[in-house]
Amino acid sequence: MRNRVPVFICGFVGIFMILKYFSTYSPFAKIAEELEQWGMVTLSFAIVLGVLNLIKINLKAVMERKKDWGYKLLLLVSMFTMMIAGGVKWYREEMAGRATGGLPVAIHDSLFDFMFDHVYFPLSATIFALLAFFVASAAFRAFRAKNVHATLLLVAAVIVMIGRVPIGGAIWKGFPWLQEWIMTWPNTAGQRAIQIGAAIGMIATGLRVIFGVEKPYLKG
Amino acid sequence: MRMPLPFEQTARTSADRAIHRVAKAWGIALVLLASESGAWAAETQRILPKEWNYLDVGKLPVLITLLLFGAFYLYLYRETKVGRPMRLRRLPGIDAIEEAIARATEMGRPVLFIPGINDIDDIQTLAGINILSHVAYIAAEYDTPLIVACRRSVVLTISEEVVKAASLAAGRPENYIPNNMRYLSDDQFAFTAGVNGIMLRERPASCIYQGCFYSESLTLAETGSMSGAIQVAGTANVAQLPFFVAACDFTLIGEEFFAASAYLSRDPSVVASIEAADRLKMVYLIVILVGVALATAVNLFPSPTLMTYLQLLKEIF
Repeated sequence: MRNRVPVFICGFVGIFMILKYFSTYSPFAKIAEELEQWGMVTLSFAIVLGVLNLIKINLKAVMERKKDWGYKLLLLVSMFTMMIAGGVKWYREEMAGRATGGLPVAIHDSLFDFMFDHVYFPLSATIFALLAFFVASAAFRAFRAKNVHATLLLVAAVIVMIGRVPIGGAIWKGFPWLQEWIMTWPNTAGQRAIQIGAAIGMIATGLRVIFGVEKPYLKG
Repeated sequence: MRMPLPFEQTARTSADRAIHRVAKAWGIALVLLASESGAWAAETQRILPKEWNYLDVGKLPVLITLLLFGAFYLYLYRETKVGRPMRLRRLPGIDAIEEAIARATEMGRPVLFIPGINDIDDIQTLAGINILSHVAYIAAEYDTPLIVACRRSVVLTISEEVVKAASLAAGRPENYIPNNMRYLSDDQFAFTAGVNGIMLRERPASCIYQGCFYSESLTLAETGSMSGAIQVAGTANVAQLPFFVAACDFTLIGEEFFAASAYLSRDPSVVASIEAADRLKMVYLIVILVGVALATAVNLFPSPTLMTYLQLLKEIF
């Protein structure tokens, strides 16, 4: 029973999703949308579990003064500060909304907005920007001509890189055409082969899960 | 000026008429466009038979794929039941997982596993969790700590249960350490920074990435590589595959990633689905070859009939 109910729910929901995708019959779409709403509500409740896990692990490390406990303390302080600032912003917007007779009011000068714009957003952009340096270091390693395949990769990469910058055309007029040819034909053919294989793999895995042949969500 | 002509008026042979009947049955009307200069072009128009009113005909190719897969699977499943052996080719990426865990055991360091960054409704996350179960089992057998970093809380909850069950199955329930099951953040780059922190502070000897990844893939794989970890990745996101191939020691590419659970479990009902997928690929290979031949023929010898066949092939597949 413990296993059958989740498998039944998974199969029931999965079949309605398939029917919604292929059918124009409106009741299927309505039922599937309703089920999607239930899924979203369940997922949003689950965020509490994540926050509790974060507090439990980091608080324990701080209390026991484990290695790097300072970072964990900073994480907890940041998390609670943002939560409180978000709560204060919501309260101010509610009060302002009531004063205008129930119209929604957006406040942009709150502590929450300040921290979002001047702390969170630059930090997030910094992590993303690191990618440029990682691309360089990964390319340096990948483009070593160790064997025939690596040499082919290196030659193709050099042609594509040179062909994509204005100096490439200045060195030899054929570089832009050659890089376009590599990207349009061999590259697209290779990518499509992987995409077709992955799409069929996804269909196979999806059907296995919907019909209960494979139950990764029940492995516990 | 182009004059549309229904196909039945131009059909010359019985084969042409047979094709027209097949097309009509699929809800497709073939129309030829004749120009004064004598050039021809084929077009198709959707005409739904009444009994097909509830079917979105635009999604026919996907439906055909599903039905073909279902037919192959049912046939092969029956074959496995009567004892026909199914063969899977070696997947070095999966074999490397055990080596990676063994290396972590020798070095006395943990293994880090990331089941992608998407939620449980992504099929890649489910495939990643299947592999996690295997990784947790081997890690428990080798008595090696396993750290699982999750971006979504539902994935964390399921991962906890999976690791707990695998440790129990391996006879080492104490290998499940609740503090090693970590939810970091729902934000993509906060999660990335958190994982990088784990890699640099706790120095896992092996990093295993199995699931859906986006732009953080290279940041994670490069940090892992710099920390000296052996890395095994698997994803179906084509755009991220080059990054993993460049930065990781082994990579499961697209279909290999989805075949991993069959490869690991050797369950005949799951292995049959992999062979069914292979047969479906053969069908698509034939369709692609026929399409290429038809397109080449249309280019070399323009004829209304060939154009119509090509157009029909495009509509159905």
